[in-house]
Amino acid sequence: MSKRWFGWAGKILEVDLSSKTIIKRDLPENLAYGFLGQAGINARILYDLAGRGMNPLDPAAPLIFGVGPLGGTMAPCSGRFTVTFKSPLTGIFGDSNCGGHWGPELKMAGYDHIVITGRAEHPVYLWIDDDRAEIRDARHIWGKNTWETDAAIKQETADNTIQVACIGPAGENLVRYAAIICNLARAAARCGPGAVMGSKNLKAVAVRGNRGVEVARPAEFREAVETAVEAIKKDPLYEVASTFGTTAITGLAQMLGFLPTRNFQQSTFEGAEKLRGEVMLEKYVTGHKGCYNCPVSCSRYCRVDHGPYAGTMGEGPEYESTAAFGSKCGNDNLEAVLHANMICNQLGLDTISTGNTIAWAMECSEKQILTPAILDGVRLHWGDHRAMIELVRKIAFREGAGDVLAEGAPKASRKLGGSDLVVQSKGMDYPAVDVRGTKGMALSFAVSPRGGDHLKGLPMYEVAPDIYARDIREQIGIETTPDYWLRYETKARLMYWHENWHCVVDSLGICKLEGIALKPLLPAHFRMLLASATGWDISVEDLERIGERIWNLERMFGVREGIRREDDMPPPRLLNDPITTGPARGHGIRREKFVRILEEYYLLRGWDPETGIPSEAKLRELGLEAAEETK
Amino acid sequence: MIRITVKYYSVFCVAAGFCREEELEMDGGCTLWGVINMLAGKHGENFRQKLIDKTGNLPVTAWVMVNGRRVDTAQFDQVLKSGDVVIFTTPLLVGG
Repeated sequence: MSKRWFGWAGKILEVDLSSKTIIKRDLPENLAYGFLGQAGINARILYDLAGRGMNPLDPAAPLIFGVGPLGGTMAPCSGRFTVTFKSPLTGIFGDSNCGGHWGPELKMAGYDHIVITGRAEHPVYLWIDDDRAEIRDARHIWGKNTWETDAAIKQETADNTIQVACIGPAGENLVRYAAIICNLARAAARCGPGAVMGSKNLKAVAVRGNRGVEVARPAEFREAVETAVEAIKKDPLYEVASTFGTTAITGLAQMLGFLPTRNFQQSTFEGAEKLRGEVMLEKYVTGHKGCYNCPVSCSRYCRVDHGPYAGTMGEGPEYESTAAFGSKCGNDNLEAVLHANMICNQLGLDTISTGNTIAWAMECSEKQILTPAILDGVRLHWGDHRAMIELVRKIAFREGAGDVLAEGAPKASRKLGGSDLVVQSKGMDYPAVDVRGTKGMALSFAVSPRGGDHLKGLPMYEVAPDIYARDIREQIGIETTPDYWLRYETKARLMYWHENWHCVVDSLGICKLEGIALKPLLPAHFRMLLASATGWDISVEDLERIGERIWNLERMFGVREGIRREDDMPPPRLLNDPITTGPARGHGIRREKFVRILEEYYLLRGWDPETGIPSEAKLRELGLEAAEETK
Repeated sequence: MIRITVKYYSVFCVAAGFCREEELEMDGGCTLWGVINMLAGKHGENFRQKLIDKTGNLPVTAWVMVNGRRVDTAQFDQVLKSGDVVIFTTPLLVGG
């Protein structure tokens, strides 16, 4: 008899598109109690299925969807899911975390994970209707954008309330940073999961779930939920988050001087005033939107009514997308940013990598590394938003210059030149923080297992620690000062703690922006929610240990592919050049100081300081002996 | 008389009716307290409440900067001079 699960649904759906077989398996207890769920269990499954050297677009390469034990429950901000895969952009560990409503729907259909392998003979979509799962013909949908696909599948299933995660033309055309989109605008985007989905001829995964999610101790769980919601609503920055979402960052990043500008050449942008979240709110926002069970509702709907971009509408953009198509491309036309964001959602593209790739191409064009002959007769200039929009479309369809740019700037530069102008780590281009000021984030981006990335260990409060000073002291044992962000000291410890807890949050199924640890939920909240939902009375210490296990496993995936200490250094542009504009002018990352915090970090992690490989003892301690054998 | 520039960010911008920047003409010898009192009259009590808590101090959610440097209530008595730039903002959290 199957175990009765609480929190977890207790089932994994295994789909082989080549043989057209679908198997429902019980969730192994060792996975649940060893890796929690969502990102953690996904990582374990990926590690076991995607061996060294596997082509990420090979039919055998797995694409894994996961929901955490809190996903779909009444826990606040529990609308997340994670897609895990070997990244076609970087060739190493890849995962993407996504909000909206798709994740909870999967849980309510009775599944924690879907493991997809193989390649369908022709385009298909996976239709999950509670107990029933079937592979359906999608030839009539192939070629449609994500908005059209969402509508077509809802029409076909005659149910407008189902949840659809799908790819657009970018995924079909194997753009290496293609996204999976659900709810028209929520994106599992970084590292290119859309390309993996496209390589399998899989257009969409549509879900209808009518079951509830059972929790172990309902009264206790309700109390834990109320406590967590109260903490979120009492957060000093709740009003900012619920009013602006992430877009408040644009003006503030400019003010403090770490708004990446013109492909990270400067850290302030003279046109930033026009891109501010305050402008967006005043002129274009038509309403606010929340993901599943979110008391914050940080997302916004925007609409452009006049001018060349009239008709632009939809959710977003976030700060990252604003910077990607704004300051990074030297573009101060906010309506063009809104439009670029919308077509990325429709075409199924990661806004960060798309903007970065175009910004890199603009700099290469300005420096005559990329000539008009390569760029379809166009000479790109900073701020040319029309050319930027056209390139987005060309990239999605791999048309003309879009074909090589669809490989991403790191790979394209190997073919065309300009490698030293790409701001990337381990093959993934950097998000919109000029980390030459923020030393903790500099370390975080450099060591992230999925490459240059802000979402694996982000200490969001690094530049404003006084808000959370007491919690930072009590939880991490670090005393902060107003200039904490500029300092190297304690950053190894800071990142060690955050990375572990990010792994926990991403595996429980809570949003990073609210459950990012210390802003505002604490480890005690996570423990209370998990224990009352699942009936598993785990300690805070053991919970963090699971986070550490997941982090080390993701590292070992990279190690197996050849990642070593030298891959943990910041990109040359950030390491060699100090910031030249704005309040952070003159600040840079000093190599010898960075090396010192990197070695301190390795020591804390129990990794070999010479190679950056987790030690045998550390892997044994974490129960990862199998990973030790394959490194 | 002196002329100063005031910039509003985040919820302060909303509280100021989406004003992002304005130039103010103030009496010579004017302090930050004087500016805040004047702005509270202009933009309403909601604006003042975001800046000054019940104990008369700056809440952790408010940053006041004069010429790029953060100041606290202890420095609100400093006399402003022509050309000064005063910023009202919430703290920055990076990410997203």
